[in-house]
This record gives sequence, C-alpha cells and structure tokens, in this order.
Amino acid sequence: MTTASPLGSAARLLVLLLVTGVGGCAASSPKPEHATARERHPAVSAPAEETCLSCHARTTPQVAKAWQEGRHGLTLVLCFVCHGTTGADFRLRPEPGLCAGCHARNVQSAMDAGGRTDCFACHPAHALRPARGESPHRKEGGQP
Amino acid sequence: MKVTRRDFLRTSAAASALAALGSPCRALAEATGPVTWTKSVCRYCGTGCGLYVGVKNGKVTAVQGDGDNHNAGFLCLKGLLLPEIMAAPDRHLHPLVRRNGKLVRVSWEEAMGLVASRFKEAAEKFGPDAVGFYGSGQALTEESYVANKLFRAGLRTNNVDGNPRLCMASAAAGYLSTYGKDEPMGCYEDIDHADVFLIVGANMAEAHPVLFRRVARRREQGKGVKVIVLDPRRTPTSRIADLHLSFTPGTDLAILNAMAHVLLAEGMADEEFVRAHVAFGEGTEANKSLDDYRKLLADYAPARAAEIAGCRAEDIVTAARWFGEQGRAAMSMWTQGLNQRTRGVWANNLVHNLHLLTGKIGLPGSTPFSLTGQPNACGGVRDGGALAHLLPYGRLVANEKHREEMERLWGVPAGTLAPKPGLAAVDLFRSLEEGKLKCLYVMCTNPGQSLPNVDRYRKAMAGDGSFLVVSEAFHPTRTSELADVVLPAALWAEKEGVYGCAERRYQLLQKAVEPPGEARPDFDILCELAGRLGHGKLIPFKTPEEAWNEILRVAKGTPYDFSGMTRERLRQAHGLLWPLPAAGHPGTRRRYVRGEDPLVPAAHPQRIQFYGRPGARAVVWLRPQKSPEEVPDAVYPLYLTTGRVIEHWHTGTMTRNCRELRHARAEATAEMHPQDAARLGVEGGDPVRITSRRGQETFRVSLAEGGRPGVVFVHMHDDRRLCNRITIDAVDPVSRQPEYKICAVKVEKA
Repeated sequence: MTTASPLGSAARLLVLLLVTGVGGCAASSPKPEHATARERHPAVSAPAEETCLSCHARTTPQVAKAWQEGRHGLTLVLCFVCHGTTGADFRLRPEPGLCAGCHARNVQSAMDAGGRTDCFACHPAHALRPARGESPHRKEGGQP
Repeated sequence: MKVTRRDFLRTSAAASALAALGSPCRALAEATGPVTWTKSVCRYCGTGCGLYVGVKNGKVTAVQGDGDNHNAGFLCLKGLLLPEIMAAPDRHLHPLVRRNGKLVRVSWEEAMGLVASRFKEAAEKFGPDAVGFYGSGQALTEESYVANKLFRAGLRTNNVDGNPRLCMASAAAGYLSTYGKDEPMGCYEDIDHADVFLIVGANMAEAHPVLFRRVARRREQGKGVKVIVLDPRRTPTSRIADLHLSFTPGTDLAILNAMAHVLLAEGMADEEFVRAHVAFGEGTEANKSLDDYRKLLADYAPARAAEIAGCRAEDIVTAARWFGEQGRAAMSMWTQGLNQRTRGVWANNLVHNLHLLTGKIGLPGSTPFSLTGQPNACGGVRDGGALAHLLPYGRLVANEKHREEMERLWGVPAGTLAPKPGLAAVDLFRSLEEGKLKCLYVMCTNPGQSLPNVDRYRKAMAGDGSFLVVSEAFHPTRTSELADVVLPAALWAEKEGVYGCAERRYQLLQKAVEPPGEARPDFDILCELAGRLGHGKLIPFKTPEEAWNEILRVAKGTPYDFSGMTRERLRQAHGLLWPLPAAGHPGTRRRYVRGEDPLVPAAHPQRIQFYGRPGARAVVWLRPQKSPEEVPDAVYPLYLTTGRVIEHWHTGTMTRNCRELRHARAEATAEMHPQDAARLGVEGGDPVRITSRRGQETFRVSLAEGGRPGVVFVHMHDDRRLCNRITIDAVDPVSRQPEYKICAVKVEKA
C-alpha cells in the first residue's frame, strides 16, 4: 500500500523534520536557520566509556535527571534523537516536530484541534510528563 | 510558546540549512516537497514494528511508525534512523570477484557464471554435500524459500542453515520438545493483560525497546503488576524490576528448578490442569511422573539453589510466589541469555515448566514468550524450514513422510530429498575448515564477525580450498572481505517480501525505491542462479508474489496454515497472525486455545489442547542444573558474557552507517564491575586485554556499577574489536546453538 500520507500533510512534514534531525524539545521559538555559534555543542573529545548522560550528569545534572526519570529516559530515547550529535548537526533547541516520528497521531490531533504543534508547552522538555487539563488528543485504537 | 503550521513550514528551511553543513541527513533535509509513503516493517529486531517509508525523488527520506500496527506508531531510535543506511558510503553497488588476491569489479554475467560453474563442479566432483547455503533471519521469506528449495531439491543437499541457529535454535527446540510444535503460542497483546512478568536472560530495554515500553506501560497502569528480572547484570531493563535477581552465569537452571520447587511446596500448582494437560519426562521420553519430578526438585530447595547460583534464597521464593499467585496472569519473556547456552534447550524447558505447573498458559496475559532477535528468523527461516534439520512448515528432514510430501509439493522425483539432516551453522563452517565443504553461499549475514571463536572460521573462509560467495548490501564487511565473489544485494525498502516476527505475525514489506548501482534483490539473484544451475523449472518464479502463492500451498494443511494470507490481504493488513487457514479468518492470537486456534475443535471439552504432543499433553521435563562448558579457574578467573546495546544491531553493518549511533557508541568496551577494575588496577578508559583459551582482544574499560563482580561484558557490534575472538564455539547438543553468553577469561592491563 503506497499512499500520499499515512496520516496527513501536517504529520508528514513533521516526520520529515524529525528525520532530518531538525527539531527539539526546548521551549523557545523555532530557529529559521541552523544552530548559531552560541548554540553549538562545546567541542568534546570523549573517551569510549563517556556518554551524553555520564557527562551531563556532571555538567547539567537537573536536565540529566529529568530525562532519566522521564518516559524517554526509561525507554532509552537517547539525547541524540532530539539534539543530534555534538557535531555540526547539534541543535540545542530541537523542534517539536520531531515528536511525530512516534507520536504522529497525537501531533495530528493537536493540530486538528487548533493548529497547536508545540508539544513542549504542555509536556515539559526532558521530563515529558503527561499534561494536565483538557487534552486535544483523540483517543484512538492500538495499545495503551 | 505556540508553534503554528507556518512556523513548521519555516523550520523546513532550517533543514535545508543543515544540509549545507554536510550532515548525513542531507538527502532527508532536502525532502520538503511531496512525499509518497509505503507501508513496511522495521529492518532491525524481531519485534517487527510496522512503519511507513517516506520517499522523495526516488530516495528514502523518512520513516514514521505505523499507528495501526502492534507498535501503535512507536519506533526505537534505530528504527527512526533507518533512512541513513540506504545511501551509506559502503553500499555495495557492483559485483566483485577475487583475482590474484584482490576483489575486482566484474559484470553480473561474469560473477554469476563463476558462481554457477564452481557450485556445479564441486557438487559433481565431490557430491552434493560439498556445497552449502548459510542464510539469515533478515532475508525475506521468499528469498529463504527459494534458497531452501534450490539447495535441497535442486542441488540435493541439506546443508542449508543460517544465523537463526546462533540466536533462537534453543527456543525452537524448547517449544518443540515441550509442546510438540515450534513457535510461541501467545502474542504481544498478552503484555497488556499480564500481572507478573518473568524476564529472564533478556535485556529488553536495549534489545527490544518497543516491547519493553509496552511492558513498562503495563506495569504503570495495571494493578500491582510485578516485574522479575533474572540476569547476572543489572541492565536498563532492571529499571522496571520489582525484583532483580543477579546470579552466577550458567546457574539459572538451578533457580528455575527452585522456583518450581516452591510452587509445588506451597501449593501453587494447578493440579487439575496438570492432570488434564501435562506429562512428565526425562531425556527425550515422556516417561516420568509428578512424583519423579518432586524427587528431582528435592535437590533444588531455595537455599540449595541460592548456594549454587550465588543469590539470595528469599529472592527465589519471592519470584516463585509472585509467579504462582492464584488468579494472577504470568508472562515469561526471554532471549539469548537462555538460548545461547550449551544447555539452552533445557533452560527453555524449565521456563515452560513453570507455566505448565501453574496452568498459567493459553490465557490472556499468561504465556511463555520467546523474544526474537531478527526480523524474519521466525517467519522465513524457522517456519520456512531453512535450517539443516528442517523442511518447510514443521516438517523434518529425518521424517520419510515429510520428505515424500515435500517432493510431491515441489514436483520432484521420489528420493530427491536427502534423508540425512545437513550441517548446523558451526558444523557447516567446521566442514569448510576440514575441506569437506567446498563452496558456501552466504546471504545477508556476517559470519566473519558473528561466529563464536571467529578467527578459527575466518581462516576457513579465507582458505584457498574454499569458494565463498557473499551476497551483501554493504562492502566491505568482515565476511565480504574474505569472499571470492561479493554480489551487491538490494536492501530493505528496495525490494518486496514478507517478514514474520516473534508473535507469528506475518507482514508484507513493499518496495519503495529502486536499488542503487547494479544491486539486485536476493530473490532475483537466486532465481538466476537456479536457471544457471539447470533448475529453472524448479524455481520458475518471476516475482516474489509467485513464490508466495506457492508457499501458501506448501503451508496449507500444516499447523502453520496461513493459506488465507493472500498477497492482497497482506497489502491491506497491518500484520496477520497464523494460523489463518481461510480467506475470511481473522488470525490466531493464542494457539492451542479453544475458540481461538482453528486447529482446536470448537467442541473440545477443555479450554486448551496441546495438539502437538501425543495424548495432547505438554511435557514438564526433568532437567538438572548443569554447568556451562567453561567456568572460571585459576588461569582464566572471570566470566565473559556478550550481548547488545541500544545504539547498535548485530554486526553493526547498518547502524555504524548512522552518524548519531556511531557517535553515541563508537566502540565496544569491557564493562567491568568497579571491584574487578580496582583489583586489576585499572580505571575507566584504560585499555585491557581479554584473553580466553581461543584468542584475545583489546578494549577500553568501562566501569559498570550494575555489573556483577567476576563478570565482564562486551557488546557484539564492533567490527574492529571482535568479542568473538574470545567466545567459545561449544554448542547445545540438541539445538546446536553456541554458548556466546558464557566463557572463562583473564583480563590484563594492555
């Protein structure tokens, strides 16, 4: 089955953004261009046993803790999925559009409900807790 | 912050900007126009997550999880990065042939002519068993089927085996010996009903992340759900464990027997279920009784088992009580920690014993569920019978009636199929070493890195006396570098065929893009080879669909019967579970269960019928604790165990082509408990040399608080630092699966 879109044009675009690696989970405006010099990851020469988490547990312990204790930390959605590597593809503030790779239906339903696509306004970055209040997401089939 | 559609359109410009930086995602970033989406399945593990492949200008530019499939749209990080592997710089684009020691580019005509003539010559001169095929749980079902048919009925050898022998042969033999039929009887949906999970010898969080997510979700949402993890190492899977039970490698048979001991001693066995559905056996005969079983288990009181296993007796008791608590559904899940053992089949039997004793089987949430490492090991190789002792769909080489049946179905003269089973994986390469096997065709797998004690078999593959053909999407690999001929194979979305994952779910992968260069689908290559070998009538297929239609006929009437899975139905569906014997049949979530499994009569008086065994009785096997082939001693004082990490997959030929994955985990390290490292006088990052009786390799140390003292762990994905120089090539006597999980080593400063 080949289709124009499994979900719709909005989700399609979001997935493209996801796979391009342009996206993120920080609560600020999307950047029209790639990361500025200020947003580049500091140069690292990490030993083999060093990981994003082991370094950030020292350098940004609150962020590391929030991620680790959150849903993405539990299911090992590692830092580079949203932030890219520490090289030229690094993005400090990934676009919310990244979420559609796994959460396409929720992204679509949020957009359908009013054009909102800022996932992180309701689901704080890194911790990604379930939001309180009225949900714009439709409940559909599939596993819980 | 509010981001509108306009903002999103604007961010697509950022994608193009990134492209200018030379990101490996360049092709993806340029894809901002119309995209077509083709339904497919993930290329990696045996979970079989459904996804859509996004294509722009003839290139794979994106993937998106299929919300209508079992994975509910979720993909793991490797699946999300699949587009990057398609245009990797080491994609193999043209046929190569070795001349004067070097691989040089030739035409398809020349390469195929050489392959056909060498195989024909070897079979004629030395007999049919001088040639062999070594396939893959990653090949499409139609590809494995064509290879199987060509080698068995055309070349008349049963030397057809593959890498599933390395990862799931013990699970298959476990199911077969206990229930009489291979493959799990449960399904992924059972996760949503389970109250207790026994995860043993499996690091689901890293090896099966999407299923792990489902277990974690069930634990959060179910009432009092308990997760028990049996694993020497405290892996990320243990984060959801209510009980992590660490033990000395190789002693889990004692623990599982001790759990059975507790179940019986504390009255948690379902006596009525046992009376109705269970037999007891030892060796290969079901000739024992419950009393005999009790006598065996008398040696496995928790205190005694704890002494053997180096764990706490009360933890064994707790695990047994949680598992056996009446009215609570129990699901076990396991993989290589049990399978890759010289007593892997026994270990599998012992897990099944727990379910049979308690009757926690064939009910929602109660099932023994073997996880699978590759996307089509179950469907293509195990079900399709592409292992040395098998014929398609539950038939055995050693069974005369089965051979006759296959000869009729394949339209070949009686006596065409050889009665002697072929050589299983390690034995196949030993035959190459001995010079008996002259020509080997390796398809879609990398034994030059993945075999245990690998240097021994690398020599055999590189030897002058052997002719090695490798069909691969990537080159060089640690196998293709040794080959005499390297054929460029199409990859994943470049071809069409069926995958069958761990829950008997068959799914169609549709072609989304053309292969690059001169690469061709393995299906086409094998069909051409058949013609060149004079077996064009045997392999007359023009398309994979034609082969599939024949496969439906071959499976019809067997316990696998999926003859209702027409190509069109597979195109429309988001996965179908067999048995599915008619066009309108919905598929079978739970085998052996009345009202679900079409092979159980509707009027059967009991809820379950184990129709695979005589008297419809599954077998509780009496299996004692037995040590692994090698245990530490004064010279080699530590255990080495090998396994997977989240960032990579198998021999890394695909995942190393993903910049993010390569960056995140560049090399294999020696994960050591801090106590062992301190004793050796090394710190994280220091180089160490790990040596076994077979070989050595150097790694940098990584300190692992969750490790077990006395146990060193190395992952299997690194193509430069080969853990398999060290591992042992001892195999389970029944399944012939090697003991990758345990050997004895010494670790020294390098």
